[in-house]
Amino acid sequence: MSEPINANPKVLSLEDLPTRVEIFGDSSSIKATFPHSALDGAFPTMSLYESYSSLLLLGEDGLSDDDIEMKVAPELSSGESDVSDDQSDIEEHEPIDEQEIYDLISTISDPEHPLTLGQLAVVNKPDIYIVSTKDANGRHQKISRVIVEITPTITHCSLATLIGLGIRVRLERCLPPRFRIEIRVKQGTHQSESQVNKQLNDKERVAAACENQQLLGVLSGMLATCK
Amino acid sequence: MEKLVIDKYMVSLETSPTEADTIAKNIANDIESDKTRLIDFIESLGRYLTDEDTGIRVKALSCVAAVLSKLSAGKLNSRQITMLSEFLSDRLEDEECLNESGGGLLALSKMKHISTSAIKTIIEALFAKVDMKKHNQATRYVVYQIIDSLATHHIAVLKGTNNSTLNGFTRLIAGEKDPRNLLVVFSILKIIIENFQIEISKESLFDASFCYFPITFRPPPDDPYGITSEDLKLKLRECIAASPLFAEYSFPSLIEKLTSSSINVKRDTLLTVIACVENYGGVTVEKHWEEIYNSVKFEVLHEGEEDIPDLVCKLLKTLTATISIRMVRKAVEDSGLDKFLKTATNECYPQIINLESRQAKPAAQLLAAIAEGSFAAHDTIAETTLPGIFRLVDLTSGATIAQQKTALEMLILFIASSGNLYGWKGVSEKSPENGLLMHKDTLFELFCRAFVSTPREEVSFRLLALQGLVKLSLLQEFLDVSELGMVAQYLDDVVLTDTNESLCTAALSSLKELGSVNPDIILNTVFPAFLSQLPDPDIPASATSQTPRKHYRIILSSLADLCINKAIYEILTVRLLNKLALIAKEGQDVVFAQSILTTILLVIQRKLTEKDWDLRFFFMTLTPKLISMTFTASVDRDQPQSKIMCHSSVVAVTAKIVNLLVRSVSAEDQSEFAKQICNLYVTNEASSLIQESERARIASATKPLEKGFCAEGLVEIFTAAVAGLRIETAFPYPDVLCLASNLIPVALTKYNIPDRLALARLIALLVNKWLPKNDEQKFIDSAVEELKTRVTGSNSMMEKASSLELLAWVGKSLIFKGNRRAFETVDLVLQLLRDESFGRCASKTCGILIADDEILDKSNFVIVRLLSKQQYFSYSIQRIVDGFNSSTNSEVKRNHLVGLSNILQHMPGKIVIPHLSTFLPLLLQSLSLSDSHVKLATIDTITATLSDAKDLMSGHLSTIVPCVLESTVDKASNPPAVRVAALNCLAVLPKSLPGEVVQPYRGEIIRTLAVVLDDPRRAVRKAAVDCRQIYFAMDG
Repeated sequence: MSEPINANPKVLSLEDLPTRVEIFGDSSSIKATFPHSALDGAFPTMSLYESYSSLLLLGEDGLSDDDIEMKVAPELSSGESDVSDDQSDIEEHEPIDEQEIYDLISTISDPEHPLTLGQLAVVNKPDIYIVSTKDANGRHQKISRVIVEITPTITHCSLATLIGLGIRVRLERCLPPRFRIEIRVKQGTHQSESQVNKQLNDKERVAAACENQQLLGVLSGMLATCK
Repeated sequence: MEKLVIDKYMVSLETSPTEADTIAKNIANDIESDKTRLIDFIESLGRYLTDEDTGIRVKALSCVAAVLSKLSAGKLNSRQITMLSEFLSDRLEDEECLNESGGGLLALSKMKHISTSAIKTIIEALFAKVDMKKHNQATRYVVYQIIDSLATHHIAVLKGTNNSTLNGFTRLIAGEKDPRNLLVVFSILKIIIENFQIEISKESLFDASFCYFPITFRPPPDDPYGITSEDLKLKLRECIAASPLFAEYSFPSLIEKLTSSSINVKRDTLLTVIACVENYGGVTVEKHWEEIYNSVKFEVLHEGEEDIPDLVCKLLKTLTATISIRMVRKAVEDSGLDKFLKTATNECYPQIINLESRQAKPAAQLLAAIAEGSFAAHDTIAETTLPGIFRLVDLTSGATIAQQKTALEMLILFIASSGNLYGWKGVSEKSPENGLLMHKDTLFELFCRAFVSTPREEVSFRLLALQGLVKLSLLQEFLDVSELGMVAQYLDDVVLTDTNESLCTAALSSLKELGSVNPDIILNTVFPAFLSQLPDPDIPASATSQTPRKHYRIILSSLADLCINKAIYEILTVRLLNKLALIAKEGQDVVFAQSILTTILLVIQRKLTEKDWDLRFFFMTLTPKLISMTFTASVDRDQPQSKIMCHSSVVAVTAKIVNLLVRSVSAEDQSEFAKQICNLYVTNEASSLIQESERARIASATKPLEKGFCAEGLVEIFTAAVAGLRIETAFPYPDVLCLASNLIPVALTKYNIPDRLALARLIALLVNKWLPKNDEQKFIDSAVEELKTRVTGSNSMMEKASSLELLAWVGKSLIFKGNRRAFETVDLVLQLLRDESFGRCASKTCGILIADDEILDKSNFVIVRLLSKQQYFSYSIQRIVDGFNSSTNSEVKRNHLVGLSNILQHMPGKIVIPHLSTFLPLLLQSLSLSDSHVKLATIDTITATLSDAKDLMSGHLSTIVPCVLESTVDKASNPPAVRVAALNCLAVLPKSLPGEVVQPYRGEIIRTLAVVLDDPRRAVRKAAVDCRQIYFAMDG
């Protein structure tokens, strides 16, 4: 292998990378935030019927409607019951946010170091923008934009295009089609900024690049570490 | 002595070696018991020994060797041995017979009464007459063994022959290559080097050993001797390190090998240098420190590969220790150590104080390794180097976070070597005053400042500061009590308020570490801080501090983590129960009360699995206390303060604690408890489990097992206690049949879940554990039959269902026990699947019959036959499939599908797979049911069996893939759990089935999953992303 372009990059520790932080005291998120609280698993659910339902026939109020089917000619697929444990399951909407985008792309490997783009600070959470307009009902419009600004480790990094391409491919695979993806080099971090930007957002060129088998091999190597 | 015997031996040597061995054994026995004289034995071999025919000579000598080797070591007297040694030594000339005559000599060399002259005869003959190059490795092995045996036992005699043996031996081994022989050669060499006057021939001896370095031997795959290259390396290393006289040759030669490009050679070389330094002694090593140091330092400074830098550090530490001998706390001026320290410091110090340099940390690592070698080195380096680091990061320096981080890392290296040298708390004995004490205040302040005044986002920096503080706290005789308290407070603060997960985890485990060497810290600092953060009914939440509190579950679980010994746990239990009593008065927060008890439970659970503590003490104290609290509250259930203790969810935890504690003690301890618990529940007498003041009142007012007595939850505790009893513990109420039968009508009248479940389990436990065989039949004939009649005969849906439920539990208990009559119940249930109106209950019962249960479980000494699940499955599966096929009614068909899925949920893959082809069509049909439980179970079954039923599954992929894909779509019948399960199922397809089978579906799956990428739930999106990536990465 040839001499790496930047042999001595600055590396962030894994602990310093941004992760999803939940709000205090919200019991449903405690486990996610503090996995060491083993107690959570040990707490029996308050709703006793849920945990006993595979051991008993009768519920708290005798037989549930579900257990006696009196329909005359029921469909084979009738009588619905739900696996959900709590009501919040049914209508809870967790929108795609910057952290989620960050999690998708920060684990891509750098093409020349055994490190991730997050660790090398090529991808930074504050440089990810989601632009979506809301309609009158407060709902998100169908079409949204994701803008990712990358920071090459050095200003003459010739691999910036490759990295940008990797991010684009990853996002195209992982985001629903309603997202328009835009990858840019962060202002003032690269010598030939506009040139790289042009390459990264030119549909034709991206498509052409993805036809190149050798390039595709490098890309899939970069994406193999994605978690 | 019969000639015949000898002839027989010589014949059988060719035909049957074992028989020959037996003959030799018999001859040896005869000589041993003086039936035959040795001289007669030799004479009867007489002419064979000198026969013209080599084959005959070989056999005759082999007979001598075999017999001699079977004699006891003290049998032959000195004269006999000398005679035989002379004879056999003489025979050494006969090259074809070397193996055999050598065997005889080997036997002689081990004899007790061997004389000096005999030893000399043998050894001289070996050197004079044997030409090793002419013999195979097995024969050479015999020769080496003779020398090894003599060298090991008669080294004094051999020493007398000094030079001739020395030269003879080095000549003898020249060119030896066989690994098994080399092992012996090396151990002889080591004995010679250590014992002989080797001054004159040291160079040839060194060459004789070192020519084998480095060992590159790799054992063949079918090596009969099991010799590893590691064995050879170790033995050779011992030879090279055996004498300081080798130093002038070994160090230069080894250093030359360090330039090797092979990491294995480097590693071996470094380990050998370490062994040499350790063995040669200070005086010798002092002459060589410079060449050693200069040749290895780069491996650390330039961060060598793998474990090489660590080995170099170990070498430098050993080197320092060796040349520090005689110097207590200070390097003597101009001594080797003094020069060494100066050289190393002069080289490393400029690197260290250049925090931007990549080599700063490696340089510190190198100095820290040297400092670990001796008190003198440590104290000198602490004095010369640390102040420089302190200056770099003091308040006025304006160092960046990254620079400070490097500085802290370096300081931690020094603290660690200080601890390894002067001792850690709880690990080492008392040690001399730590040389780092001169910097104690600076160090402590520095790390405190780094921790306290750094912004919270600098997680890795604060982690480092925390690590430093903990290391300082663990140093022997270092921080005082108030400083330790401060560290504990910082750690408390992190656990209680910090939001970063890695910091919290690190702080908690540090607290545990501190607590294990200093339990007072936990009791005096941590407990008060943690407990005060729990919600307090006397203080309204708004009145407490401004900072947001963490959820009490986090605090409780941290408290549970901190129970590092029984005394601490005991105190925690007392404090938590006090808290419980306090909040019970308020009668408000059931979940909090439940959480407190769960904390107590959690520790017991852990200690039970770790088998760490004897829980008897807690069984004796905690069980009666909890039972008493619950009963007292139950008697006064109208009072507001009783509500919490009687609440079903609190009782459930109490019952679990009782169960685990009862389970943990011996049958002896259980028997008295069993009596008292029966007094309480069955006979309603005064029980010593209840606190004395309440005993009489409770005995008269509480009859929890009687029909119509309403005390929700109390039975659950009885069931838990009975479950914990060992089978050897006699059940105190003699008539178990009567008790079990009487409980059935009681159970049928209960409508709340905990009581019904507790009674069903109780009956199942009694039947399984204590009902003798014939009573079991009686029970089935009467009680079970009656239940069946109720199920089939009753007009009330409720009565039918509650009877079926009990029937299922009795059936379950009998299936576990392996009673064939259990299948009478199974038959009934399967038949009920055809019932349009009641079939849904039956389909659920299919699962109840075999579901795992935490009470009716092996851990509670319940009899569970090995094959019970398999029996149940193979019995019911065909009947379910037939039932499904023979029906045209869609509701009945559905019941069979649901029944199947309820069974599958509880079956391990290996039971299911052999029957898979029978029921796969049903499984696929049930994917189209909208019942999400069934769907989940079906998808999980498919996922679990995919890789074990490749062909079958491959054939049905065209049905499976669309159905599973459909289950990934966000809609009411696909709750998130189903969607995630479906995505996981798709994700394992490419791994489990051959590529060409999955390939055709690749495009469709990738396309369909694009929609799932917009799922409202994050977990589903994540699974979809991962799944899709697997298909993108597929070839093609």
